[in-house]
Amino acid sequence: MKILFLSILIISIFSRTLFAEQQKTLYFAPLPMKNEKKVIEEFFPLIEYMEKSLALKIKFNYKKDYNDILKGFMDGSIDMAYLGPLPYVVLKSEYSYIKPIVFFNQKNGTTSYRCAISKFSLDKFDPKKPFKVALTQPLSTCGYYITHKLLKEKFGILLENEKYDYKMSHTNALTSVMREEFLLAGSSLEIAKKFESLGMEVIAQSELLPAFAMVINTKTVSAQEIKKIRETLLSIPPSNYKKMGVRVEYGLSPVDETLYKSIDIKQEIPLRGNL
Amino acid sequence: MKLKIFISFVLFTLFTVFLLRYIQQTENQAIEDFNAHSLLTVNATYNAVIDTYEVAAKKDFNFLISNTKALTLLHTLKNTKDMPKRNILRGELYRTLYKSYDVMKAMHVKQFHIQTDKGKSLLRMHLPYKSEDNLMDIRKSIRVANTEYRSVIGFEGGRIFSGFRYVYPIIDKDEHLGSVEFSISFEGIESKLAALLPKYKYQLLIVKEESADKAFNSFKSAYSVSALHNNYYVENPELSFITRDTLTNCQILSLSKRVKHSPSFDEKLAQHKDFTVNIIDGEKAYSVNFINVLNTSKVHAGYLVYFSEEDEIINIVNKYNQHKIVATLLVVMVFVLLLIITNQIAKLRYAKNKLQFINSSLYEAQKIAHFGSIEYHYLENSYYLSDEVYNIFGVNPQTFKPSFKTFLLHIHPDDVKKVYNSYKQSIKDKTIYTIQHRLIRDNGEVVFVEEHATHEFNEDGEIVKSIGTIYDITQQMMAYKNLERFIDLQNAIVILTDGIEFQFANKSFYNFFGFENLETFTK
Repeated sequence: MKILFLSILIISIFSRTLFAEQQKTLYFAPLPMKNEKKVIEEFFPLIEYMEKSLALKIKFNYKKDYNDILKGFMDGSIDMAYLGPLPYVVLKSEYSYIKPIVFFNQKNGTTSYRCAISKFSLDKFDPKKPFKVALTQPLSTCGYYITHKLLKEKFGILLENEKYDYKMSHTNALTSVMREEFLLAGSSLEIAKKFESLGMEVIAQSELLPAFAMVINTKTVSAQEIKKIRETLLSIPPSNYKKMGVRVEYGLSPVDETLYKSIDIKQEIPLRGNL
Repeated sequence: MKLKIFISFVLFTLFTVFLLRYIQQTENQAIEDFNAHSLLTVNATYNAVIDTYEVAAKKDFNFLISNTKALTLLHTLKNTKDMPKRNILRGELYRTLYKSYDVMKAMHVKQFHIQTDKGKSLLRMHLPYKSEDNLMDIRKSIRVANTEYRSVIGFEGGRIFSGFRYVYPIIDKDEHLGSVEFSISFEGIESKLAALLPKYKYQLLIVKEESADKAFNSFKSAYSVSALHNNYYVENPELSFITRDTLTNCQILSLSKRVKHSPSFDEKLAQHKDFTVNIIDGEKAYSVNFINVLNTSKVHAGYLVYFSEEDEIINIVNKYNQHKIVATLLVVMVFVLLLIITNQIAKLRYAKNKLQFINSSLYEAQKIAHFGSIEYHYLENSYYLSDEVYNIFGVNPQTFKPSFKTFLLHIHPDDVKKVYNSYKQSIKDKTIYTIQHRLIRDNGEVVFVEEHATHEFNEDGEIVKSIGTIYDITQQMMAYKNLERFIDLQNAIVILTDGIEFQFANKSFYNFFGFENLETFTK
């Protein structure tokens, strides 16, 4: 009788543990962009694949900006996030329990990318005259941080002396130039190239920067789970990359954390535009 | 009897079943009429919304073809093959049109898309950096607009999303420049419908060929299989703001499951016609209506589905349930009444048979014993005579009219006075009337009879009925006479007495005592 009771107890505990494992839900914060629907669409196939492969429930926890993502990591409501190099370094400096686990490759298959400043071909850019700059987000790498750097290095202009505003995404920043609201836009080089089909041209581009990464909250996700997630992501067959949405289109690579050393977060970044 | 009751029970049960089925059919018809009305209303509203958007699209198209700068750019683009130059011209075109697109977006125009005369994407205002992909093979509406130069209106799948398309060919100065498309998302249609008919929750089911099959790979996840049927897709509720509310609504999900497993749902869905599925859940009723949506080739492309709670259906159901109860009760009551009546009839029939038997026995008895019975009802002045009375009187029952007078006419003239007095005296004294007398039959034959009668009186002492019997005692009298003669022949004196009075004495007695007969002796 005792043996039977113990067996039932052990099976019950074991089943509950298994059940708990199967039911665990991870919360993923995609890129904070203005168009929530669009950004969820972009990540949906990847998240669906991860759910199936890891037997985990993964829910989107969309945040409007990087500050909210930082808060989410801190209060445990975010377990994973898709982050560019600048927000990662900034978040890491404030919350050390985050860790990049894979890089999202760029179009050329590398784990680095560039930012750029673009304008419409027919618009005239005179560095001596005042102009307006469209930026992505305060903590976006290609936002204030790189645009400020490029304007200073390439044209000797201080961004803080010009008019600028945050448009919350690379596409929005570029589109606002097409809408004649701004003269220049700071964005990733890859997205800026897409806008060449609308007659936009890149007038300055940055050095190579570490690619976007899947960043994990090590306080809410166990080391074993992190290992499983990393292995799952890195084992996606290349033939499936295109099915995983635009963000995984060019594959995934292991993270080289030394690349983040090039990001200098001493630069002060205003959280609002000056328009 | 039991068999008859059983057969009646079976017949009534069958009748009840047919009656209930008839009521059920009437109820179904009432619900169908209600559904048809609902379908008609939403269908008319849906068509009105589509037509309104067509007017808006036409207006937008007219704006485009009257925009000189846009047309000039389109002419130039048609003749420019160099891609960098084309890109700049595309940018200029974007700058010419984006303000108009902003207005269109506010009107739920999701896509404002210009194509080249060869059916390639020239400028997607909603996704401006994505262009130059060939749409000729995938988008029939664009092929028709650029090859047959006519406008195409209807639902159609696309590279990015499925929607209601209004595609017009652009022809300026007799030159075909391409086509322009205005697309309304289901969100737009749904918001208008929700404003006009707010009681419903809407959903768009799209066939796979018009949804996931046509979308860019990166946009395929925008669709997911519908909870209603595996052959239909909906905007992915994980992504879509419009379907999320409807598709994640617990009640809608529960209704969808029940609809999916409702009888003949698959067959109805396969017919590609408007239809309704009603779900009744206790005190609540729901309608799930399907309106057939056609694509630009007028072929089934999906269904506009709308869910609603319908109190009217519950009212109809309750009303007809009452009818069913009343009908059942009426049938049961009629059945019980019929049982009672049948039972009574059986009892009456039994009593009648018994009476007939008694009558027949009495008739036979009266015939054998030569006695009849007479009833006289004073108030009605009516007589009842048994058959044997007619025989005793020697009259024809068909022609003889019984009355006091006709009776007296048949009494021997020597006995009339005696009979009359005796009868009257018995009424007066309220005593039993008994008398022996002679009757003269119609054929002249004389018969001896003995009558006994009694009378019934009302509360005031008035006579209401006389009941009597009449015996034909002729044979006894003959036998008696013969006995008298036999005794008279004897030398001995013979007397017969009841101990009080002399009943009879023979001639030897009279002769011995010097009397002629009994009468002179008793005097």
